[in-house]
Amino acid sequence: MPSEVFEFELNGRSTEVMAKPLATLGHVLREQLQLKAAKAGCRQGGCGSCTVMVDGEPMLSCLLPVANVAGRSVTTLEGFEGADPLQQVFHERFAVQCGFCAPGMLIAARALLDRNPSPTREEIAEALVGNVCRCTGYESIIDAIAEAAA
Amino acid sequence: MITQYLLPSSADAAAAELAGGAALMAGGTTVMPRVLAGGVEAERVVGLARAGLDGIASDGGRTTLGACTTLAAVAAHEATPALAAAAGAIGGPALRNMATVGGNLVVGAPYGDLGVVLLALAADVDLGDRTVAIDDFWAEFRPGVDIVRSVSFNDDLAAVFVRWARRAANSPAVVCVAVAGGRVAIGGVGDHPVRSVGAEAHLRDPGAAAAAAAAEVDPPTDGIASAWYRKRMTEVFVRRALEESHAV
Repeated sequence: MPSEVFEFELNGRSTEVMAKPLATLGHVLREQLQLKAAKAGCRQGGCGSCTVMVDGEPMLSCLLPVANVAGRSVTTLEGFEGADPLQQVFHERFAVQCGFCAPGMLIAARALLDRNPSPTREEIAEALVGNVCRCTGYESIIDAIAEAAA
Repeated sequence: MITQYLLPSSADAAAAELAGGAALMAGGTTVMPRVLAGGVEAERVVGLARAGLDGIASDGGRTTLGACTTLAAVAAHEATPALAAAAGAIGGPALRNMATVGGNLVVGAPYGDLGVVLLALAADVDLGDRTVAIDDFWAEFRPGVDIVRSVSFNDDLAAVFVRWARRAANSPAVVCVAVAGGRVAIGGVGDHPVRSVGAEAHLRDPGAAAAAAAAEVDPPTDGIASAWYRKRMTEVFVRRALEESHAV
């Protein structure tokens, strides 16, 4: 498949990439742009480790063709620049063990708090159902998001 | 080998590509894993993301869902809570921001919960050149030829949807049941949702309806559940759905 140029906003900056249109956004982020926060986990839509925001909504970068995000706005965890309060509280609350799920968890949590600044524990859990933590650290992750929201 | 990915700006243009042998993709949540695994034989993939098929229209108590309306948008549509519940129970938020109504109708087992509610609601499916009753949809739909354009149904505040899965969330249904206007639809027991004539003959007697439904279904054994377990859960959840439909 011949490559084409795609332009989109990435973490606030206009970005151009040369890629095959059916290449996934996740592949372009990790292998071309060296942004490694979004992970390639199950590649089937089940684990959420590849989650990024597209126009402010969480989506699965491992199943999203890069052509579909042309002209749109993409935010990865790198775009938080370590300055999101969620990142600090994830650190303090030990909501990160192996870390593989953490970027997806943080994106899902940020999308939740942007829409609902004071979620209940149930609403936090619902926002995370698509994000699997194989260390099973869910309680501390929910605690951290609840604290960030408080 | 796939050599082209097209994003036409209309459903008719997409249908023309389909006629030329292209593979069809809407939200990509089930097609992309197959593409990435090399399981799509076509030379071209045609995406519907820019075909103008998204959006929800309401008119006098009747709702039309464009085929590319996301499950997230359906989950937020309050005029028919059972449909919103079915959409909101599929996958997680990120998947629901991609997966579409039309995709969910044709995805096949073990997915496709939305079709269970739409079957109970007696929805109409617009295929562009014709509109079919959803009862006939799975027999009428021609993969590689037809594109679902939209789905229409009368809003129903009293419709009921119940679901049983191995985990509370992000897990395909073992069985799911929808009841609306005297119609009972069951998912998880075959390639596509089915109505239970037996259950519909005993709407006022949930126990008898449940037994009739369980006797009718011939569910598969797969990685999610055995045929035996699905039959048992069909009985339990048809009964619960009818009990709930009498309660509301």
